[in-house]
Amino acid sequence: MTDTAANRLPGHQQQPASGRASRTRQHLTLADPAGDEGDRLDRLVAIGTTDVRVHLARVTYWADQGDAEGTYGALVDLFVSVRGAAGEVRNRALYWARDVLTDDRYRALARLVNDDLDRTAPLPPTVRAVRALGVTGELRLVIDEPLAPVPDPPALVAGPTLAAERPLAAPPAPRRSAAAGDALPDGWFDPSRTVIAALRRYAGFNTAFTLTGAYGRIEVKAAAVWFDFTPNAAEALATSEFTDLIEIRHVEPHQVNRRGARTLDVAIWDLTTMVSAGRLPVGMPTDVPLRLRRQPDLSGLARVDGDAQLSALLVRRPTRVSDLPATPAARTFLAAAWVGGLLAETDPVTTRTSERRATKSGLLGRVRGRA
Amino acid sequence: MTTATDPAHQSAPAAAQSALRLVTELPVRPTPAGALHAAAHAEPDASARLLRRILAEPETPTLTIEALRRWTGLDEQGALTQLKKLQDAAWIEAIDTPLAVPGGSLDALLVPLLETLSSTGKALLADTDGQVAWTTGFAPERAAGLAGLASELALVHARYADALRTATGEATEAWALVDGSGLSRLGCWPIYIGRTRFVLVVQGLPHLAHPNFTTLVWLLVQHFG
Repeated sequence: MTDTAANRLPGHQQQPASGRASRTRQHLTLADPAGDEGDRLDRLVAIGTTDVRVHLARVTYWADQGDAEGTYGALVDLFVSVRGAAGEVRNRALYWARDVLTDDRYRALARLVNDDLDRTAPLPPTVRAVRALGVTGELRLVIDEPLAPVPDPPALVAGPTLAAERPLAAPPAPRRSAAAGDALPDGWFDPSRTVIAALRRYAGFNTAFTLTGAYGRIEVKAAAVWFDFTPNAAEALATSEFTDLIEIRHVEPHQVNRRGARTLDVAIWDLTTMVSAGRLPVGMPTDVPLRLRRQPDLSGLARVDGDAQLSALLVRRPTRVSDLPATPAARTFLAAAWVGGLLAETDPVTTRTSERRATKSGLLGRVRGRA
Repeated sequence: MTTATDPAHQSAPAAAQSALRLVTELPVRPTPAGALHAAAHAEPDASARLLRRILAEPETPTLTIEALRRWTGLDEQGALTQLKKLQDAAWIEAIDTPLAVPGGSLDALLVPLLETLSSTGKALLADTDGQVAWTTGFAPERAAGLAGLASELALVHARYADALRTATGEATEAWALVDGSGLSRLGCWPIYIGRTRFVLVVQGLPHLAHPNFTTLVWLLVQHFG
C-alpha cells in the first residue's frame, strides 16, 4: 500500500497571499463589507449559472482573499460550466489565479483549457467546487463491443461515390449476422470491420496505440485521439477494411498532453462520417422509430449537410429512417449518431402519439424539403 | 419523399452481437455520488449493494471479472451489465494507486473529514438514537440540539414515508432548510451502514462531491457495516 486516503485530506486552505500581487484587482473589484460575498458567489454557481461573469467574479474573489482552495474550486467550476470554445476565458481566469494555485493544480487545468468538460470530468480533487462531482479517476471501465471479429480478407464494400443517391441493394440475408467475408450490399457498411472498431476496442484510459494506413495516421493515447490524415483519407477510410495488428502500449493518463486531441466520442463521430460516406451501418433498423438521446454539440463535430435540422427533429420526435430524406448526407448523419450511441430505438406507442401530431408543415416537412 | 425504391424501405443487415468487456484492471472505488447512493437508503438497490461490497473491502479492490462476479453473484455479462449501470451514473471510478482504509481511531479520522464537508466547517454525525457521534465546528449544546432535530426528522420522514415516496420517488431521504434558490443552509443526510442509521448534518453549503465523503462512508462501512 503506497498511499492512504487520509494522506489526501486537503490542508486548511485559508492561506493569506502575503506578498503576492493580485493580478485580479485591476480587472474587477468586489465590495465585501459583510464577508458574505464568497458565499453568495458560491451559491450562485451552485444553482448552475453559466454566466461567465459570475464565475470570473468568484475566481477573482477567492484569489483576492488568497484562498487557494476556494480559487481552485472556483476554477474547476468555471471549467466544467463553460465549453472548451471559451478557452480564452478559462485562460484568463487561470492567469489571474496563477499566484494562489499550486503547480500541479495549475498544470492540471492548463492542460484542459480547450477541452469540453462536464461535471464528471476527472480532476485533482477540491472541496470547494460546487458543480464538479468530485471524480478524480477514470469512469470508463466497461465497453460494449461487437462479438464477431472479422479476420478474413476484406470484402470491399461500396465506396462514397457508389452510395450517392443510389438505392441500396437488398441485403443478401436480412437479420443474419454480418459474418466475416460477407460482401455487404450497396449502401451499408459494417463498423466492426473498420478503424472505428479498433478505436472502440482498444482505446482505454491507460492505453496508447497508432493506426496507420492509406488514410494517414490516427494516434490514440489515454482516450485522446489525434488525426493526421492524407488528402484522400475520406475515400481510403470508406473503401477499405481494417485488419491490421495493433501494438498496444501502456500510458500514464496524467502524463498525456491532450492539446489538439479529440475526445474518443468526437473521434468516433468524425471517423464515422468519413467511413460512412452516405452508407448506413449494419444493424441499424430502418423500419422502427429512432430518437436522439440528446442533442449533439454539433459545433465540436464533423458537420454534415442538414445536421442541425436532423438533430432537432430526432431529438423532438422519433422518426423512422424510411421517413427521412434518402440523401447521402442524411445517411451519414444517421450513421454517425447510431455508431456513436446517440440514436436509439423508441417505444412505438410514444411514436404513434407523436406521429399523430406531425404535420407536413412541421420540422419533418422542412427536413424533407431540404432533400 | 419515400418511394418504393427508397433504400430505407429495405431491411438492414443485422449487426454482429455485442458484449460488454472490461477495459481496465485498476483499483476501483465509488465516486462521492456513488458513496452517497450506497448509503442513502435502508433497503439498497442492486447498484447500492454492489457499491457496498466494494466499500466493504479494506483496500480499493482491483476490478476483475472474478471480483465482479463475487460481488454481484451474477454471471460475467450480468455482472458487467451491473457495472455498466454504475458507470453510466458516474458512481464508480478507477484510480491509479490502490488506497487502504485509513487506520487509527475514528475520532481522529472522522472529525477532519467532517470539517471538509461543509462550507462553514460545521458538520456532525448523529447516531440512531439522536446522539452526537462526531462533530466539528458546533458548540456542544448546539450539536446536541441538531442531532436531536435529525432524529426527529427521521421519525417525521418515516411517518410520512408513503406520501413522500409518491412526491419524490426513492431518490432521497435527505432534509434541508434551504435558501431562496433551494440550496441547503442546514441539511440532514441519512447514511445507512449495516443496521446503523447515521445522519450527516451539515451547516452551510454541503461539499459532499469530494473523495473525502467517499472516505467517510468507507470508514463507517469498515467499522459498522
